[in-house]
Amino acid sequence: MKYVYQVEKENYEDAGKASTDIKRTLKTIGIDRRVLKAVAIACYEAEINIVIHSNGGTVTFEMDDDGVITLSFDDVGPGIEDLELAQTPGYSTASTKARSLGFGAGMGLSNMKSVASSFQITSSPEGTHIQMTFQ
Amino acid sequence: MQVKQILQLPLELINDVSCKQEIKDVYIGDLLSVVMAHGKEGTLWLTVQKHLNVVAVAQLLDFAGIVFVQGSYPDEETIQKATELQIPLLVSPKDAFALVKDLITLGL
Repeated sequence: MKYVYQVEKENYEDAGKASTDIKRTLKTIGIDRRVLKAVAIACYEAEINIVIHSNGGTVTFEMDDDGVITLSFDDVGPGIEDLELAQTPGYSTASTKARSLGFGAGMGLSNMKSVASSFQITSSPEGTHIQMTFQ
Repeated sequence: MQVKQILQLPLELINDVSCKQEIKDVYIGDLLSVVMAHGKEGTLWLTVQKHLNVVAVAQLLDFAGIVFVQGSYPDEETIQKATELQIPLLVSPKDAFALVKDLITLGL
């Protein structure tokens, strides 16, 4: 099972659509509730990060025959200057607009790391790539 | 306690939903990532945030409902989306602390 979703820069109206669709799919197939919640949280945080911080990108959801779920997030830049700092809880570079909507708590990456079974992030000016697994 | 049972408080239900959801917890928060990290299934969420994204958060975490406090009122798009997903939206002129006192008095 594999789905790919496009995510647009600063499109706050559609932010969360990929996450809610993935959650609906997983709920339909009766996946474990703990895994369902973890996927929902991590997917939403990463999807929102593409909306707020990037020039746009994709969310890719895959589930293998053993039920292992992989979420991949790929954007087209501008990249994260200091990855270590970006992963510090409470640190945020979100815009005033994003903050006014309740985003920019600086908890996104730490929330992902706390719920995913594995978490990998790489970043360059060409784009940021995040991959997480859940089982 | 079901959402419909808290309607005896001075709260206005602003969308057409069943209100049979069971309230298992109450959470106050305006930073979405903090709410994502701490919200549980069946939570009644008190917030001043009123953008469409609150509905996504409530849906992802299976919240019992959202109460917009301190006179905060969502736009039509937010109301429509919540109705589609059958998430109760309520508004209260009170601030979160005052409303929580009322909820505790009710037995939550």
